[in-house]
Amino acid sequence: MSKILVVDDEKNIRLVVGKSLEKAGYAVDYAVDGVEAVDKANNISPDLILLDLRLPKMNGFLVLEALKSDAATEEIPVIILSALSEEDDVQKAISSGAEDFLVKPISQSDLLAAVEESIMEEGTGQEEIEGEDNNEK
Amino acid sequence: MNIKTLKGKILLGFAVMILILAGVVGWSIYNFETLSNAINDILVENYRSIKASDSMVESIERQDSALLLLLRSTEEQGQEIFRRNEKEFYTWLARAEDNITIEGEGAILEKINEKYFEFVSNFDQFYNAEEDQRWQIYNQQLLPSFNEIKNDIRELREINRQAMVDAQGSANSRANQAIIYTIGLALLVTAFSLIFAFYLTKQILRPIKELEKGIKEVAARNFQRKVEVASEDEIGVLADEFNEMISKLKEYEKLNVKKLLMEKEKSEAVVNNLSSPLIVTDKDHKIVLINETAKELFSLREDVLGTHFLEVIKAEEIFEYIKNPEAKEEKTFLLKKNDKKRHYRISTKQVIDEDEEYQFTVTLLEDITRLKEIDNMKSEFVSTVSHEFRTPLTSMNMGLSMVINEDTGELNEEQKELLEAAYEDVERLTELVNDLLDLSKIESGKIEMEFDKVDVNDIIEKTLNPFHKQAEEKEIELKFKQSEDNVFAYADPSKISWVISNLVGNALRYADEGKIEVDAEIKGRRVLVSVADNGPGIPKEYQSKIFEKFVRAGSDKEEKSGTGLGLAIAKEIITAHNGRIWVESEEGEGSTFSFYIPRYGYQEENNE
Repeated sequence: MSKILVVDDEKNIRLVVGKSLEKAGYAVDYAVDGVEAVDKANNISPDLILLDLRLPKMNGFLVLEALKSDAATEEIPVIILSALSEEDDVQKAISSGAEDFLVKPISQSDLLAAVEESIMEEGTGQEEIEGEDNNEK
Repeated sequence: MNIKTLKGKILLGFAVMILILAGVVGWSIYNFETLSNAINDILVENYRSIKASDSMVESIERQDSALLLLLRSTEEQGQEIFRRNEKEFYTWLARAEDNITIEGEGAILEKINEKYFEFVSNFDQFYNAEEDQRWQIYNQQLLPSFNEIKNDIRELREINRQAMVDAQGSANSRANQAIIYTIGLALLVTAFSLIFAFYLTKQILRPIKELEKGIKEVAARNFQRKVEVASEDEIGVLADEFNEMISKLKEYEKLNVKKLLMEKEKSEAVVNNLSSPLIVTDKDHKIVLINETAKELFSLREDVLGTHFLEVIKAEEIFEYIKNPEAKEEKTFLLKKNDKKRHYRISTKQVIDEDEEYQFTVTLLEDITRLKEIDNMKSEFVSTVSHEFRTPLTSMNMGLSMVINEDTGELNEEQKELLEAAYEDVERLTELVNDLLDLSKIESGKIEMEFDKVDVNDIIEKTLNPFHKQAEEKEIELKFKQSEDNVFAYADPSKISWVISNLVGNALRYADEGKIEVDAEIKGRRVLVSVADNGPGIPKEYQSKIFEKFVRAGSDKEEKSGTGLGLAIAKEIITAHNGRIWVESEEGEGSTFSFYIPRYGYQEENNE
C-alpha cells in the first residue's frame, strides 16, 4: 500500500483529501506545517507528498527545496496542491522538482488521477518491494 | 469769406470766373469801341476837312478862271462866276471852320480867311480898274494871293491827310495794344482762374483728406484720433458725424475689450486652477496655452508660449497622440512628477473655428494614479478573495463528491438530489472564482501574452472540435465557413482560442436551434474573426454593456449558467492584442460577435 503524506494547514482539506485517498486505497499521513512536513518526509519516507504552498513556519517552496536537497528525500515525488495558480509559482515549483501542480479547487477524480499517475511513474519496482515487505509482514 | 456750404464755395468759384470773363468781354468791347471811334474820326472829320479844302481849291481856281475871263473883258460872265464861286468858297470855308479837329487847323483857316478877304477886296479893285491896270493888279496882287491861298489850302489838306494817316496809325497801334492787352488779360485771368480753382479744390479737398486719414485710422482699429475739420460745410458736418461715430466705436470697443478681458481672465483662472495639466497647441503644434499644473509636471519655468511642443516637452508618445487626433482610444501614460511615477490619462479635443482659420488641440492629462491604485487594490482584493475561496471550495467539492459517490455509505434519493444541487453550485462558484482570477490577472497584466505567427483557421478548427457534439445534441448547425486561406495573425493562440471558445459557447448556450457560423477574414492590416448566430439576439440597451463584468442580457439572468465574466475577459484579451471586439445584434434575429487582431506582418506599429 502506497503511503502518501498530505501537507496542508487547513484541517478540512486534510480531511477530504485524506478520506479520498484512503477510499482509493492509499495509506495517508498528515503534516500541518512546513517543518513537520520535512520531518515526516524523513521519518516515514512516503511514496508521494501532496504539498500545499502557503504553509505556516516554512512555506511550500522551502519545503520542496529542503526535500530535494536532502538525499534521503530527494527521490520522493512531490505534487503541489495549492490555491496559487500564477505562472511564476507554477514555473518555480516545477523547476524546483515538483512532479505536478494541481490548482485548488480540484475534483476528487482529477486528484486521484494525478496521484495515480505519479505513483505509477515511480515504477512497479518499488511497488514490488513494498509488496514483498507486506508479504513479510 | 463767410460762405459755409460746399455748394456755396463751388458757386462762388463759378461766380468769380463769370465776373472775370465779363471783365474781359467788357474790356474787349471798350477796345473795339475806341477803335471804331478812331476810324470814325478819320472817315468823317478829316474827310470833311479834306473835301472842304478840295472844294475851296476848286472854287478859287474857278475864280482865277473868272479873273482870266475878265481879263479878256467878258465882264458879266466873269463877274458872275467870280461871285458865285466866292459864295461857294465861303460855304466850304465855313464848313472847314466848323470842323476844326487838328491843332493848327484854326490858324491856317484864319490865315486863309484873311488872305481870301484880301483876295476878294483886291478883286473889287481889279474889277473897278481899267483894262490895262487889271493885268497889273492881277499879276501883282491877285495871282500871288491866289497862289498863297491855294498853298494854304493845300497845307490844310495836308495836315488833315496827315491827321488821317496819324489816326490810322493810332487806330492800328490801339488795335495792337488791344490785342496785347486782351492776350495779357486773358493770360492773367487764366492764371488767376487756375490759382483760384486750385485753391478752391484744395479748400474742398483738405477736409476730405483729413476725413480719409481718420477713416484709415479707424480701419486700423485706432479710435484715438479725431478728425480735425474746421470748415462748416457738408464735409465739416460729415467730419462731425464721423467723430461722433468714432467716439461711439471707442466706447463700444472699450466695452468689448473689457468683456473680452473678463472672459479671458475667467478662462485663464479656470485653466490655471485646473488640477489636471492642460496644454493647448495650434496646428503647427506650437504651444498657445499651458497651465501651471502642466508647467509643473514638465518642469517648465520660462515662458514657453509659441514654442514647438517637442522643443520643451520631451514626451514623444504624448506628441504622437496629439498629432493624430483620429482613432482615439483611451490611453494612459506614466509620467514622473516630483520623482514619483504617476499615471495620466490623456484626452485631446480639436477646436476648429467656422472659417477653419485656426485649429487648436486641447490636451488634458488627467491624473488617474489614485484611480489606478484603487483599481489595483480592487484587483488585488478580488485576487485575494478568490484565492481564499479556493481552499474551502476544494473541501466542499471533494467532500460532496465523496458523499454523492456513496463512498461514505448509501444515500436515499432525496439526500442525493440535495447534495447534487449543492455540488452543482460549488462547481459554479469554482468557475466564477477561476474567471475572476483570470480577469484580474489579465487586467493587472500578470498574464503574459505569447505573441506569434498563428494560423487563425487552424485555431478556429481546433477550438470548434469539442463543440460539435454539443451542437448536434441541441440540433444546432455549427459551421466554420473558412472563406479565406492563409489567415495569419500575430497573436497568442491559446488566448484567441479561449475567446473563440467563449463566443461559441455563449452562442450554443443561448440558442435552441438554428445555426452558428464562424469565419475569419483578412481586412487590410487586420484579421477579422466573427461568430454569428441566429439565436434570440441581444436587446439594444445591453449591447454596449455586455463586455462589462457581470453583465448578462435580459432574461438570461435567471436561467442560464455562466459567470458573466467571459466577455469581459475576452475583451481584455483582445485589447491586449491591440484589437477590438464588438457585437451587432437584432433582437429575435441573432447576434454577430466580431473581433479583429493584427494581421501577421502588420503588427509592428501596434505591438511592442
